[in-house]
Formats: sequence, structure tokens, C-alpha cells
Amino acid sequence: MKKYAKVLSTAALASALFLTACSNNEATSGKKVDIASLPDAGDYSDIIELNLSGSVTKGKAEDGNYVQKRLEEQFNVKIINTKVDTWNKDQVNLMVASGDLPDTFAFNGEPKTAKELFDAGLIRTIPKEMLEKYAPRYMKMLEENPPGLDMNKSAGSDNEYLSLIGLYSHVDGLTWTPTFRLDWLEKLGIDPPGEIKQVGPSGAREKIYYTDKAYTLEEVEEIFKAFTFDDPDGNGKNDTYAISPYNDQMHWAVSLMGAFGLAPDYNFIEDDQLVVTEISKKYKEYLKLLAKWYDMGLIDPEFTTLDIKKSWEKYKQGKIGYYTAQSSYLANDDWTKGRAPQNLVENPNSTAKILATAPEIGKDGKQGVASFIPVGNLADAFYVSKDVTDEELARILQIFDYINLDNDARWTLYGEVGVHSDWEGEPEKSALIVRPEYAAEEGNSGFWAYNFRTYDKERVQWFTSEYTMNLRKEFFARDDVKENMLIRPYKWDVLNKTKMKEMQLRYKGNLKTIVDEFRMKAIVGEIDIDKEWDKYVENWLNNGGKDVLAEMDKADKVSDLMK
Amino acid sequence: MQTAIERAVEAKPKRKENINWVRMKKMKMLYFMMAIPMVMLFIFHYIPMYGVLIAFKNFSPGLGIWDSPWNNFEHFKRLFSDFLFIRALQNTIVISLLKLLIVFPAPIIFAILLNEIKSEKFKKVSQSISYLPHFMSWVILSAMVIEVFSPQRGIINYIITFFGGDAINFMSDKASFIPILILTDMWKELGWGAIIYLATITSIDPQLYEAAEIDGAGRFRKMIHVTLPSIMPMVIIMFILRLGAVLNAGFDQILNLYNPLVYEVADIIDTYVYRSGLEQFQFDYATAVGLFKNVVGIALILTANAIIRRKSEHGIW
Repeated sequence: MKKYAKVLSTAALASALFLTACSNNEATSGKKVDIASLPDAGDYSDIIELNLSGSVTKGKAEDGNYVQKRLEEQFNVKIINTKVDTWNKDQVNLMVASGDLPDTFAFNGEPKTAKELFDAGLIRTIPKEMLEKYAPRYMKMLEENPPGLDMNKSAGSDNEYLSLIGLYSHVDGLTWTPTFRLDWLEKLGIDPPGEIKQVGPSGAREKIYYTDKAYTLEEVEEIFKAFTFDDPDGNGKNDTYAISPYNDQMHWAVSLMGAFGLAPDYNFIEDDQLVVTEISKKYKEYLKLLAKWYDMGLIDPEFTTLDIKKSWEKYKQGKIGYYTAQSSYLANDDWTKGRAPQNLVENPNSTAKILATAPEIGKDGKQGVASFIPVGNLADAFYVSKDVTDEELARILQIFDYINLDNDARWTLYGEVGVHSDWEGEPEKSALIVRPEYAAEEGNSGFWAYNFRTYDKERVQWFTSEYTMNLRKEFFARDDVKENMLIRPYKWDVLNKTKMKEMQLRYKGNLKTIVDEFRMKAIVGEIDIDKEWDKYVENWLNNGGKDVLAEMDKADKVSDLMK
Repeated sequence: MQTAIERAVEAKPKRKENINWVRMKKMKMLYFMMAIPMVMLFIFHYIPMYGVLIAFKNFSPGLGIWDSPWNNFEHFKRLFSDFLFIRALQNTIVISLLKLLIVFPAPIIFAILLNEIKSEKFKKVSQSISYLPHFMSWVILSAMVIEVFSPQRGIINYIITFFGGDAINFMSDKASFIPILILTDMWKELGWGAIIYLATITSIDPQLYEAAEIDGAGRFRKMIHVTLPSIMPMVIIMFILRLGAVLNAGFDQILNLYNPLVYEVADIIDTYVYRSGLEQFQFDYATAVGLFKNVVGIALILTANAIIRRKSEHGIW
């Protein structure tokens, strides 16, 4: 109750603060900017005070930190550090509700759309002319990544943007792929689907293998049966399961769904109609397969009470044969420690081996996983507060353009190589590791404190191990893999033409409840899927689904957007 | 020796306001100390009440509370047309009433039984052990509960399978989930809830027990005819207060224990709002639900208090 009471009281307290909040975004929105009256790019003669927040910040940047000092000197600004943890929902709630926002900010997740924030009078627009003048690298990035130039525009305007957007090169390609216990496959005499390679020579990577070939769903079923009933761990007990899902996320199922051509929450055309995955006939078939596997005893019955973290622990006990993984998991990168499936082989004494394969192949040859971003590789939003003047915006844009898009600004994330950080392996081909005497993020160094989540390929290298980079090159982000195995929605609104996002946010809670309940009941056999299906679909449609679909239908085709 | 008040009363017996003023002046430090929490109460509990207006508006932070448009009870219409809310309301009432029926009397019985223990050492140890679960959050306790009832590692299922039965996934079973909620809630709050009754028991006049003994009453009779009636006013006050919170069925506990398979019986108003309102920044909708809960709570408190007042001399007001 405390948690709820805290959130509710935060909202109530914040409500009191609104008394003083006023709608005055007209002053800085939609108004024609006199670009000639603003200073030239690079003219920093007037000192400006800016209250800055980055996009993964926890409000822990110390005043006078290394990056702050250098930025203040370079751009002649006085930076006020924002002491708000953008990962903390209560703090973000209060910040949004009170309207007391820093000059620049971004959220972890997207609780409100840019349009909602603008309509609520919390943000200002960013004129295209100013971007062209003060953020040329950013504009170039948008031009190179269609439909970047058309995204995030203010309604009815061709020259005003509601937010800045990030390039997500780090999630280019497949985000997940299935893994199998290779030592079990070997013991059971089951061949890998293709030639297998070791991920690396040491650091537990020598026990992790991959192949770009895949098993079919029929083969997977046979493997699952062997994993469950043929005592793959050789302890003489019937105590293993093929798969142990979790109930709070759907990553465990992405490649299995892909074998049906499905991706969670995306839409596609079925019987000449636009449908979302969760009410499609293919999804029904997918659920029936899982229900069959559950009935056969292949699925760990305890999954209903496991969230993802408990599921990692369960996998580590060595009784589960199948799990999905990201490329960085397979490379056993530092930040993935403790996660499944590589947590099984972390122990030097572990004799377990893991094999990552391409996503399973379905009946119609379908194979793949959902793209991390529905359209292209542009995502996220970096906002400018309503009270920021044009003069301040000019300086903010120049700082933004430099620290996020000029790779000479690497020092804002890692300091100087050899002084603050070192290459993990081969220089320029491995990740950068900040020395222990400096804070890896914020703190005394100020690294990442003012940056936005936008990474071109060079920047991705800075935080990606050479093993992950190799996996991405060899399989996860290979051009043919991306072309054939990335599942994108049929229609999506990235140009703010519809109310799709607003509808999704409004009905998300109820629709998710309906979908989650039906999925779980269907898998454990509590309901007859065929008998209950129509009622479930009707329920979904009548509780906001119809409005969501109607708005989706007004959106552009993704294939057109990506031309 | 006369006090300042008594002297003041004698000096001006007809000026009551003067007496009060003198009394207040004499105790000004106490009044000052009381003023601090009163100011805090006013600032943090009364001023924010203005915010309740957003329950009737389409709230926009930029416009503020007053300038946000009225929405013709839209949030309340949405609430009562949403089958998930209706289900959550029903579940809340069922779980809360079961807790009221089963969990509420438990600390009373426990306190009375504890009072009967003769060994002081054993009494203190029992008391301390019973308090412990109260200090642990449901995040930790839920992990313990899930382990105890696990179909693969849990002790309950170990016993069931030892005697040849099939393991039961208790936490995903609609029939067993509510009893688990009630039992674990009782286990967590039993000792802590008993403190107030134990304190009341210690204030009972020992002469009453002596008189009962002279009349030939044994321990059980004394318990029934002396202890229980003596703590009854406190029981009634606690009951009325608990009734006011009948729409709070245990958010932390349920959020940490439930899963989609038991939503049908375990999804309560708070968990519903958490998923549908607050997570989506719908402050106005969440406030409407909160207002509904509070109105029901106050109505229940007032009604219960009035009924009890009519039947006995006890009550809050």
C-alpha cells in the first residue's frame, strides 16, 4: 500500500503545485523565429545559465564535475545540474505534474507522447531553421535516416519539431535469438543445425557457441521432448524442463512467435484486415502450440509465478534447456552478468555449454523476431522545456549537436582515453572502460550526465565488447539477416498523423490485462482456446482495442515510411 | 497549594474566556509544540485536497487545476463502465471483508492468550517473534511465501507428494490464492496488531480480577467477563477505523504475490489503478478512483460509528 499511497500522494501534492503552473507555451511555440537576430553559430559571447538533464541520468552529477567544467568553458555557459533521477517514476511524476522541468530532459520510457507534453504546456517546439543553423550534424543524421526529417513535427507545422530524436544503431538487427543447452544436445545425440563457432576464447565465452542456421519448430518440439524426458543432465531423475517462461515480459517467446510471423504488439494484415498480433488467428495457433507443449509437460509449470529475474535464477540451477539471449549476453559482457543463459557458464567449474541458433523456422518458412524499433532506427525523445528562450535554445542545440553527434566529444562519455578510461581490448575495436577512480556515469566525472541516447556505429563500439561486435557482424546485424528476419509492423504512426500513441497509452493497462490473462489461462489449459477465442477478441475490441486499431489503420505503411 | 488556573478562577469566576486564556498562556509551550504538527497536517493533508478537483476534469499540467476543462464526470463514467474495475471492486470487497472477519479478531485473541501466559520470559519471546514479520516488506515476504508454496521446492508440496499426492501450484490457483492472502496477512500483522490490545489489557484494574476470583471465576471466566469487556471500547474503535479502510485490501501484498492466472479473484482496485492509471501518468483518473475509495471509506466510518453509538456508549465521536 505504501508504494501506491506514495505515488497517489505525490500526484496529490503535485496537484497543489499546479496552482502556480500556467500555460504560457505560446511564447516559445509556433512563433516565427527571427533567426537573423540570434547569434551566429559558434558565437558564445554572452554567458547563459542552463539547467540540464541527460537522458539516462539519475540526478547524481556532482557540481563542478569534469565534463561540466569543460562544457562551461567551451560554450560559455553556467550549467545547473538537475538532481532528478529520471529512472524513478515518483520523481518523474512529480516533475511532470508540477511543470517544474529542467531546460532539457528525456524520460526512461515514454510515459507521455510529445504531443501530450506540448498540449500540456510543458515543452516548446524546436524550429527547423534553428536546427539547420545550430545543429547541422543532427540534421544530416535525420536526412540519412528516413523518415527522420518528417518525424516529431508539431501538428499543422512543417518547420517546428516537438522533440529531438535519437539514432539507435545499437539495436540495429536482431535483438534476441534462441539458445539451447549444447551439452544436452551432444549427450542426446542431436546435431546442431549448422556449423557452430565459439563466441570467444575465454571469460566463459569458450562455452558459448553460435550458428546462423536454425531448427524448425518440429525439430524444436522433438528437442524439447528429449530435454524433458530423456534425462539430459544424467542424474537419473525426471527433473528437467525444456523451457521456463516468465510472466512479466515476452522476450522468452519472441523467436517462437517469429516462427508464426508474429511480433508482440505489432500489427499486420490478416484476411484483408488490419489486426494486432494478440487478436490474430496466427496468435491463436501459437497459443495452441504452447498449450500443447504445456500439456505434454515440456514447459515448467512454475513459470506462472516467475518474473524475469527469478527466471534467471531458475535457469542457473541447470534444469532448463532453452532460453532466449541477446548478442551481448552471448558475449558475456559485464552488464549482462547474472542474466540467463550465460549465468549458467559463468562459474569456471561449469561444464555446461550453450548454443545460440537463428530463430526457429515455422510451418510456412516464417522465421524472425520483432524489430526493437517499429520503423527504422530512430527512437526516443529529447525535450526542451517551455520556458527556454530562443537564445538559450541556440546554445542548447550547439551543445547537443557537439556532445551527441560529433565523435570528438567522446570525452563527454569516457573522458580522455589513457587518462580517464582505457580500451578493453584492441584500441578502437573494443569497449572503453572508465578507470575506477572516476565515476562511470555522472558523479565526479559527469560522464553521460548531459548526453542523449543517440549512437552512430562508431559510438556503439565505445560501449560494446569486441565479441558482441563480432556476433553482430557475423549474424545479429548482418544485412541478409536484417532483411529476412526482422519483423516490423505493417502500419505505424511516426509522423504524428493519428492518435495511435495516445490511444495505446490510454488503453494499455486494460488491454494488457486482457491479453495476459488469456495467454496464461490458454497455456496452462485452464480454458479451451477454440471455445473462448471469439469472446476474448470481442472483449479486447470493446475495451479500447477498437479505438487503437482504428487509429493504427490511419497511419502510414511502414514499408512506405522506410523508403 | 493553589495552581495559577485555580487562582485565576477564584479571581474572575464569571469570565470563562479568561480562564481559557490563562490556561493557554500557562501551557504555551505545549500549544506551540502542537502547532507544528497541526501546520504540517494543514499543509500536507488539507491544502492538497484542492487537487481532488482533477477527478472531475481532463487535467493538463500546463493549464493547472482550475483552468483544466471539466469533463462531465467522464472518469467516473469510465470507471463504472469498465468491467475490470467492477471486477476489481468486487474482489476488493470480498478480500477486505474476509480479512475483517478472519484477520481482525486474530490479534485480539492473540493478545488475550498472551496475557494469560505466566512465564514472563516465554511471553516476551513469543511477542518478539510475532512482531518480526511486520518489519519485513512484502517484497521479501512474497519471495518467501512463493518458495513455501512452490510446486517444486515448497515444503507444503513436499509433504503432499511425500504422501503420494500431486504437487499443486497454489499461487496460480484461484481456489487457494485468497486463503493464502488471508493467512499470510494474519501471520504478518498478528503480533503488531496485538500491541494495542495488550496495552489496553495492562490498564485493566486488577481489582476487577480479584473481585471475579472471589466470585469463583476461573481463568476462562475472567477472560470472558473481565478482559474482553474491558478492551471492548478499543476493539470497537479499531473496528470502525478498519471499516473505513475496507477498500484497501492490501496493495503491496497482492502486487507482490499475484499473477495473471489469479487476476480474476485477486485484482483489487489499487492494483487495477496501478496498472491502468498511475503507470500511464493518468493522474486525473487515478484521483477519481482515490476519491471514490475515500468517499466509501468515510461513509462506512460514519455509518458504523452511528450504529455503534446507538447500541452502546462506545464509538469514535
